[in-house]
Amino acid sequence: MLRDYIRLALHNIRHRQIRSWLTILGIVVGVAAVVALIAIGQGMQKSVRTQFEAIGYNTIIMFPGGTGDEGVMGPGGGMMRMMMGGTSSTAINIEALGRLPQVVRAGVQRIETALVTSEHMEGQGFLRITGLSHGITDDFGAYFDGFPVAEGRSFGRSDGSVVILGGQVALDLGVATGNAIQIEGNDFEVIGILEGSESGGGGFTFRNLDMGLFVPIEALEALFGGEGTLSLALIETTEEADVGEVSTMIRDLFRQLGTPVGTLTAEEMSEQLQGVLGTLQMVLAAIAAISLVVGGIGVMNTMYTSVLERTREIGIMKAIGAKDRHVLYLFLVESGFLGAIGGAIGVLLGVGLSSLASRLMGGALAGGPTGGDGASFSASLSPGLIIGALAFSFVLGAIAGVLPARRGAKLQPVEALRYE
Amino acid sequence: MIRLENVMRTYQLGKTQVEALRGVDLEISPGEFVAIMGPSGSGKSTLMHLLGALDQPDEGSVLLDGQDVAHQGRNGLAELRGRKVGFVFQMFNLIPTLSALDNVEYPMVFQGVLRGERRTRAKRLLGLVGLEGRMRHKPSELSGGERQRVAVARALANDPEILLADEPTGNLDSKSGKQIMELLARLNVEHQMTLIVVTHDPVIAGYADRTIHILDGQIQNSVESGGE
Repeated sequence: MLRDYIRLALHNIRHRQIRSWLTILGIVVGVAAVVALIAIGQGMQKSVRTQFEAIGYNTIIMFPGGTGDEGVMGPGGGMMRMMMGGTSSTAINIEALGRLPQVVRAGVQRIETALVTSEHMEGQGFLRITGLSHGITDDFGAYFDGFPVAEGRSFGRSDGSVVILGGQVALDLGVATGNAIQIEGNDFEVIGILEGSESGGGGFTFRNLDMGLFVPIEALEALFGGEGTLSLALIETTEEADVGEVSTMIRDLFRQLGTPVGTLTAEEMSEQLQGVLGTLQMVLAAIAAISLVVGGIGVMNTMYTSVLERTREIGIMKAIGAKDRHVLYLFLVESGFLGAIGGAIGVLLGVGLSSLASRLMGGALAGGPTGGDGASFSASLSPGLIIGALAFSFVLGAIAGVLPARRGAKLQPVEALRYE
Repeated sequence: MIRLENVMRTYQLGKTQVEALRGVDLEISPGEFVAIMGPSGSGKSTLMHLLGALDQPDEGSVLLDGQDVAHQGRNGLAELRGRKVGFVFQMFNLIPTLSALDNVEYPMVFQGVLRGERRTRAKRLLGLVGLEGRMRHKPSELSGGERQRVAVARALANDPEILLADEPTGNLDSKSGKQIMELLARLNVEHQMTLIVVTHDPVIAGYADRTIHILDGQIQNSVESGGE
């Protein structure tokens, strides 16, 4: 019986092709928008999660100046500042961390902008130089994920004026390992070139690796002075330690020392960022859902027209033995199909849109010339999302068909037969 | 057995009340061929609708095989129409988008007959009305006479006891009309099917065992004609 309804419904949809496709199009647009936005949103959340997992949840990020009281995402908050690339550099006695038994090790970054020239390149440029302490170059946890040296070697303890270049920078400067470049007029030997990566890699803490110039932090101190100056510190705690508690202890410690710092645990950042992304995603999906409602109204309109147009046919159906529910089911299956076909095409389109978006956005996030935070990103399409979208559009179509179908089912056979 | 007792049916047409049937009593035996004649507006179509469980009387009873049309719910009426009655209309009333075969199968869908059996039965019925070669054609590709034969095959789909035909030749040329009447008469004789034909054409009425004349919502007389 159900198969008969499906056959008849498809027959009717085919028979009114233009109207059916226009109605379906209304659903397609809505479903595609919702699917694409949710997929992109989930992809972003996943990429944030992956990045923080790479840093490790027993890692605390410390930066000078902040009190941490503004909150993570507040206007003066550490995260915002880091994302905007506005980290300030201040001298901090990092050795003081040795007083905390929960701290396993710490690594320090110092970021300065310096004039860089190369024999192999015309002109000159101000580029961002990142000085790395041994804590970081000694493979700080899983921190070097996505930081492979493609050519040459990594830093050694006795290195002086040496530099490791991001893949893109090496190309721009036209240098290979063994060549020298000049930073603020001083020769630096290129000892390694990082593997070029499509996404840029590196995440929040290393910015865009492809665009990076990395030197030992001592070399930066030699150029710019200011011993102990740092822009960012990564602190690894013991596995057992309560990261949040250690974070508070670190802030207390440096406040007492007169150099207040802000801290962020990876978990805090991850949670907050995911929360913000989640809200954003919900708002966008809700806006997209409005177009789905409009699509549903389109289905309802089409079905009302269809019932009116087929009044005589309904009369015939009833004369040859159709019960009210037979008429009802026939129209419901038909409107459900309009929804489901729209849903299926919408899902395909949504998948296409979200993968296009991940290509564009992934590129924009990673490969920007200013070296934004190279978050690797790809839309996340869960089977639940796809099945949910299909089921929802079928139900939406069926619900939109309820009122028209009921009107059809309730028609009096004699009157329906008389209808011209 | 069909029995009508004091059947009243009144319509509201705008502000005027139309008394379509005013106390009709009637008995039709199983296997009988009855013609109902009367001018337009006499109430013959209303009578037809009541006999076919398409409509219900305001007063009185319409018994089809002991079941009163007056006391059925919407489902019960649909059940009666589906199982006991087959309709042939003046306007054919085929579904234009379906083939002849699908049109004949349609009534069986609502009775839950499985597809394979529907096909077999529909093909046999189209053979019975002489349309073996036109099964895949849509109504628009068939002549008037052929369409009416499809409609007859459809009316027979659920093997009804009563066949109701409302001006079945009204839209046909005389040759096709004759063929249809001969087909209906043959079904009446060979299958012992009760046949009720509404018409205003005395020639058509000539085929029937009995002719009932109706005027102003009342039966005037009932004449045994003894067939052809």
